[in-house]
Amino acid sequence: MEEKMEGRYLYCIAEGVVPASLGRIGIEGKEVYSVPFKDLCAVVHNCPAEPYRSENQEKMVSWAVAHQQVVEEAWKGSRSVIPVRFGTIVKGHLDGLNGWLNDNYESLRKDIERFRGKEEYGVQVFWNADVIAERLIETIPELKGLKMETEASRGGAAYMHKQLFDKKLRQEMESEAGLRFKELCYRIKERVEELNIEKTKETSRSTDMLMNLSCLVHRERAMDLIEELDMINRMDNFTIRLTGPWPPYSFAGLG
Amino acid sequence: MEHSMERKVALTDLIDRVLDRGVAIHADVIISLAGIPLVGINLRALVAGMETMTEYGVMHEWDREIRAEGTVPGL
Repeated sequence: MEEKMEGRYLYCIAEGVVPASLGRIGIEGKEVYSVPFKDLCAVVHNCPAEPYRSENQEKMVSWAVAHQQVVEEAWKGSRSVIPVRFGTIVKGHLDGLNGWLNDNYESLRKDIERFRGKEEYGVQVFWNADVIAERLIETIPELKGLKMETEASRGGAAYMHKQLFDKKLRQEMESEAGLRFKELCYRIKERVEELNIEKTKETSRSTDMLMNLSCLVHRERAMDLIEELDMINRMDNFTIRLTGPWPPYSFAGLG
Repeated sequence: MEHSMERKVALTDLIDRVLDRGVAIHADVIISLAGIPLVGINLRALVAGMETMTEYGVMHEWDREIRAEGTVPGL
């Protein structure tokens, strides 16, 4: 009879001091421990070699949270950590894990060094598009003219003017967004090691998301970034949402 | 202080990172979760209603810890 295949659920790769056992803090209360390999270690729990999946989505959310908590815990004591994506399992017993670590040691080492002393921040910039559009209409003569013509005309002419006005406004808003994006990106980039531009999201807010960024920052320079973001947050019609520090999830595997 | 930045961590921030980011490993010895984008979308939809971590009991400890570390005096 064939035995069910074993696996190791992999949370992260760390460098430095991670306790041999981190306790029962894993997904579903699993015992989490670290497996040393040269100067690195892998943080894992034992599991069957089959995908982690549940039809119960609340359960999956709690698994994702547990995953993050383990990475966070390992990150706390170590010098550097590479977070691994949720649901990654190395087949086999420790030999399987050691083999994989051996095959990938050089590239892991590179990321570990890249992340040393650094942390990730999520930066979302929102702008009050309605107010900004109003301002553009006031300051751009052509737009203002089109608006007045639209208001002054009737029927088909009104429709045509409205079309022209909408098109022009859309162009001006896009160009304004582009300029602001560049300007703010520049200010933020000056204060971070690496910057990823993530997809913006629909929000339930009254303001639109203009930028969604992941920033990799030296721990000692985090204050610099936060102060700059605070300045941006004080600008009229702009607000910032800042999360972190996170382990460097958004930068893993890009180097 | 007025106009201070929003620093609350929402569950979607966590789901984004844990499911969509983090190093994705492709190798014969690796089993990964299939259909991650779809799983992510479903989970995000589920947590969309749970505005902040603290409203979700299980996250309370974690949020509190992060907040203690992330809090910057004066901001």
